[in-house]
Amino acid sequence: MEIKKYPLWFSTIIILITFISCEKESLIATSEKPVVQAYLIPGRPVLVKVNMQRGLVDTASYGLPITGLNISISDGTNTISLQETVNGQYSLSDKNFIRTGNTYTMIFSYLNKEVSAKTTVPGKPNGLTISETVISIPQFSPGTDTLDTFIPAYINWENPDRSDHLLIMKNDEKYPSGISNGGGPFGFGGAYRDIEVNTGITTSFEITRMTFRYIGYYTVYLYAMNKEYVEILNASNSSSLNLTNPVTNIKNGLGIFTAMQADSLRLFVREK
Amino acid sequence: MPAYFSCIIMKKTFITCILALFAFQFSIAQQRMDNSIVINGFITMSMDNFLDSIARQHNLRIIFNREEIGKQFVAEHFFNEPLKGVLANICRSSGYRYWLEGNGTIYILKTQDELLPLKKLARNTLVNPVLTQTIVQQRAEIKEPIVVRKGPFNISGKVIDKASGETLPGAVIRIAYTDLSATSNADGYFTILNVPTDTCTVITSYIGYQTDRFELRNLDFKNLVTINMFPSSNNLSEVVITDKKTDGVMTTDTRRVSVLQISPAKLNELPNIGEKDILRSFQLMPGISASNESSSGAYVRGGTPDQNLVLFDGFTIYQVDHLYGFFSAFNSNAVKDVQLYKGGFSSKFGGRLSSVTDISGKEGNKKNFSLGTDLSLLSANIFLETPVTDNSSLLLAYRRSYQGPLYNKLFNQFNNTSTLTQAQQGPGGPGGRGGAQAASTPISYFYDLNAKYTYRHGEKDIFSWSFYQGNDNLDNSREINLPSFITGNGGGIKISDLTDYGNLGSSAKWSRFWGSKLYSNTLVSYSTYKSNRDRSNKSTVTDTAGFSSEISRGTVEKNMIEDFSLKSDWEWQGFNKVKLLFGGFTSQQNLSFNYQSDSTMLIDQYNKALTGGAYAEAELNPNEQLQFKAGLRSTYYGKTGRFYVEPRLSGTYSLSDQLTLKAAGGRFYQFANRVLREDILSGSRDFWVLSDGDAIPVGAANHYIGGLSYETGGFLFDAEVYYKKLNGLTEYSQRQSPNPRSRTIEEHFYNGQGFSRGVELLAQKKTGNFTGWLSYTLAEAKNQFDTYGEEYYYANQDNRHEFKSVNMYRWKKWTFSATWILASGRPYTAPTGSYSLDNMSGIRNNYLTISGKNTERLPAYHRLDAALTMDILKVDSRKAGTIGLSLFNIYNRKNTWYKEYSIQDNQVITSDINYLGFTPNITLSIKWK
Repeated sequence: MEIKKYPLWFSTIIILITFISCEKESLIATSEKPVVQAYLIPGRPVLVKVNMQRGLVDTASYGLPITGLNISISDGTNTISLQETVNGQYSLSDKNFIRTGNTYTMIFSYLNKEVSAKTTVPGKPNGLTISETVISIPQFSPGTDTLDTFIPAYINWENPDRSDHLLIMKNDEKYPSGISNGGGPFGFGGAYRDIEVNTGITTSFEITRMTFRYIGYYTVYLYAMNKEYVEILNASNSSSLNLTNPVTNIKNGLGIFTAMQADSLRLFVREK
Repeated sequence: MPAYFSCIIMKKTFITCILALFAFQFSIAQQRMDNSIVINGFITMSMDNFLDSIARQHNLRIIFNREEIGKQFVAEHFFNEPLKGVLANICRSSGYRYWLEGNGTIYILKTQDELLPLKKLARNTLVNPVLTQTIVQQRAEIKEPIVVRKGPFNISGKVIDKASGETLPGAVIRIAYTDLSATSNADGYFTILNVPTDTCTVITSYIGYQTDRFELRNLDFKNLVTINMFPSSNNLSEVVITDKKTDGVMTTDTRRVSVLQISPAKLNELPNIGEKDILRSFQLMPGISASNESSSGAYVRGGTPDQNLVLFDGFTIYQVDHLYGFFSAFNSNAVKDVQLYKGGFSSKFGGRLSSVTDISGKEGNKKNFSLGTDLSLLSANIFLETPVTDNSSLLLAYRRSYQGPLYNKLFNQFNNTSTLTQAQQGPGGPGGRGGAQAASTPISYFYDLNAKYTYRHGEKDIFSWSFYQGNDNLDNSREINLPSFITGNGGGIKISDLTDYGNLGSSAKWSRFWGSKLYSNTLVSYSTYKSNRDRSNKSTVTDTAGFSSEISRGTVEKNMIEDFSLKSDWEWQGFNKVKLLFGGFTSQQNLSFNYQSDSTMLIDQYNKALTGGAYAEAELNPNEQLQFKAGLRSTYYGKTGRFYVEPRLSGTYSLSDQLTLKAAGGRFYQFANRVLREDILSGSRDFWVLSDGDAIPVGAANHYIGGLSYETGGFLFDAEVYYKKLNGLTEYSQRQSPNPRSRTIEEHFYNGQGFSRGVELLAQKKTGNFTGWLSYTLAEAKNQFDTYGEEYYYANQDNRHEFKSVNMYRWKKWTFSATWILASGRPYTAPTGSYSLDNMSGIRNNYLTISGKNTERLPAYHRLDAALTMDILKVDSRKAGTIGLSLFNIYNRKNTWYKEYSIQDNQVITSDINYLGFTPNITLSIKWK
């Protein structure tokens, strides 16, 4: 008797649950925030790039440029409007506008909302030196113990207030020529790219036999940088378990608006 | 292919099982009856009185049809006649036969068809009442005349399993037709004060056991009374899990709020993935989420598993699962009793925000040596119980997985996904080069060991030592042999991917029954947890001269907790209406966390905290309807130097015999948190940290619970609503600077708050051949962390609807069970688009943009599991074991675990990572005795 009753309320509850369970699919509106990219460096012209985001299935490298914006940059006393030179790229040719210690605010209006960002130009790094200006990379050949024959070089600088620095090593050759062992643990250098190292708050960088993949003259830039650069460029996300919006310092937007200042030196890399 | 393979394995296993079964069946001798029982004397009385008499005198359970048997008359003279002979004799002369059940119960019947009705009868009636007529013995000493004593007087005693002598905690002892009752404590002891008269009947009930009734008249109250319980026999369908009340016959005094109890012995009748699983079985009840296959930890009422305190014989277990969370770390053969408090729990417990799982280990058979084994496609399990001396017993249980098809299936479930993420590392990542070959021969396993030694000194003192060790060694290491054109003379890269975690704990306990009013339990324990993760590459290059050099890169993480605890719990029962629980506790926790990248130690933390405190709780029963508990717990936490006071309150009010109102509430603090890593695939999934009152605040929760239950003989309907407010929640992320030469690591702790609320409904059929329940939970869990914004968002574990249907049907020696789970999808965060930024050196980085935290829902989760279990019976119908076939996810539903995103050719590619598909398993359990 009891068992006969069971299917009745069983099915009633099932039906009830089925109805209750039909949830509305909440739709995510595609974010319309513009993507801003600007690196302010004293002695260089100002360039602000503004693009749209890409759709999920968009195969373009960058989103569509946003044109026709009226972008102004202020250093607190002067406010200057940028000119759109290329679609989505707004610039100011005055190389003296960006100065050490000044705080710059960028504002523009997009979709009737104010998009803004602020950054302060850090001081020039002090005391940049290198222990060897010529780096000799030993040839790697199987059968010889090469690990000891390399003399490491050190790039040093002062960093009393433990601020973040970025080291960029740029090969100055017109056609950079690869090191025969390629530097990496497997050999093969791959296509040329600048070497960019986020050195954090330290005061030195050790050049090892693995550092360079191309020989020739290099300019080493040491940038004093703001925290936002590290935070923004290191953010990564890949799974629904940890997905968060990338860090940005643009209000009502995405991307980066940061200032840097560099000191530089030169070195020569050759094969032994 | 794997399914086919496992089928072959299953077939082979099945044949082996059958062979083993045959061998086993033949090796079993004819039923054994206790030969120590001998009957002497000249008997002239009705047969029913005679049977009652020997039942009482020798503590037997004899079941017969009183009306019929009463017509028979026994006139025999026995000289030291064994019981077997006596029964054979009287049965033969009256045309009856006797039948001995595995649990020791004797049935007197004419044909086998009468067995079932007799069993039903046994459950519903007082079986062997105390005689009005005693056996007339020749040359026997004169029996003391029965003195009818008028009360009030006190009874104290203990409840034990008749067969093994194991004490039974949480059994309910009632004096019929009064409101007097008691619940046996952790060591099986109970006290009932002011029993009015000795004509009362005592009714004892315990889950998985037949309800016992006896009259007080013949008892010697000066000593401890021992109540022997008989396990539910094969064809008596009892409930496996019960909410609130253990049996329909019981009325009021099992009234507790939000408590679930489980009978480990019955677990094998439920479907399983590979092992009968204590914690997973709780997931079939309302309020405990069942849709998280990758965690056997309990998501109780919107709480996370680390908010659930797991105690094993009094010591804290930090790692509750094996094999990435697919199995709980507790061997059910070593477990006597498990209670899960879903909220509003007693002030005896503390240190967690949501719930408590209190597990008591078996003490071991005090009467006979017993050996058993369980074999499944996943693991082998062997257990031994034995009396050591007259006063002591030992239990040993060991379980180890082997790398069969099922283990590999589960292991790959997790590790295939991590391969995916590795593929995204791009050039420079291991394995991406042509010509290199990967060879993987990892050895992965888990094991656990339980040992318990119990020594009884007299009637009043019990000393016990319990030991538990559980460990997982998950090895996904690979070796890549480099082609010789790169290295000259060959060489290779060894990629270590080792996860090694586990728990070791031990406790020594002294329990003393000081008298009928006072009982104490003092425990000193040690528990340690470790979780090590080694993800490093060792490249070895051997040159032509034979010199090899090794370069090691990668990360090694180590997390360890040590917990030394001392606690003493006391129970004082001065009056029937008042019971006082009080006690003190102290513990020292040492915790370390190391994070080593290449050869640099980036995080090297060592923290310790001293916690101490006291609690007191009064259980009051001012009248028959009302029962409530009020308690206060105060904890001093060394890291913050503060006292944390936790008031607790719970109560029930019976509107009628069937209808009970319930309410509970309280404040709860948590000092040690398990933080989850953002990316569970790239490092330790989680690790424990101690609150420091600053970056990691002390977690706090308030519970408010209300409920209503309606219980009839065969059915239970239960509803509870709850609201839980949580403060001081912590999430964690690491940001590592990419400079390989001067690495720094930043640890970010994000703090927030949350709440969860819900309604739980349960309709349970408790008796009959068909048992089971339907449960429905409507719930919501939301968090607010400033880092995600000011708005509340759905917590990761939020489950809006959860419906569970558990059905079990017994037919002779077969049990068929089926469970179906339907749950709303969990929330997740999805990208809405992507964008790219160039860094200073012109290299393009891709980013995903999202709309909001956890705004999306995965598709609904549903799954049908079924199991068929056959009891292996000895010739005397005693249960010798079971063979079970379990089918997990029968219709191969692809439930989504999480989604993974990658940017390929600038497009965002989404891939679903699914939970387990159809997985069959076969289990053989055999118990030798």
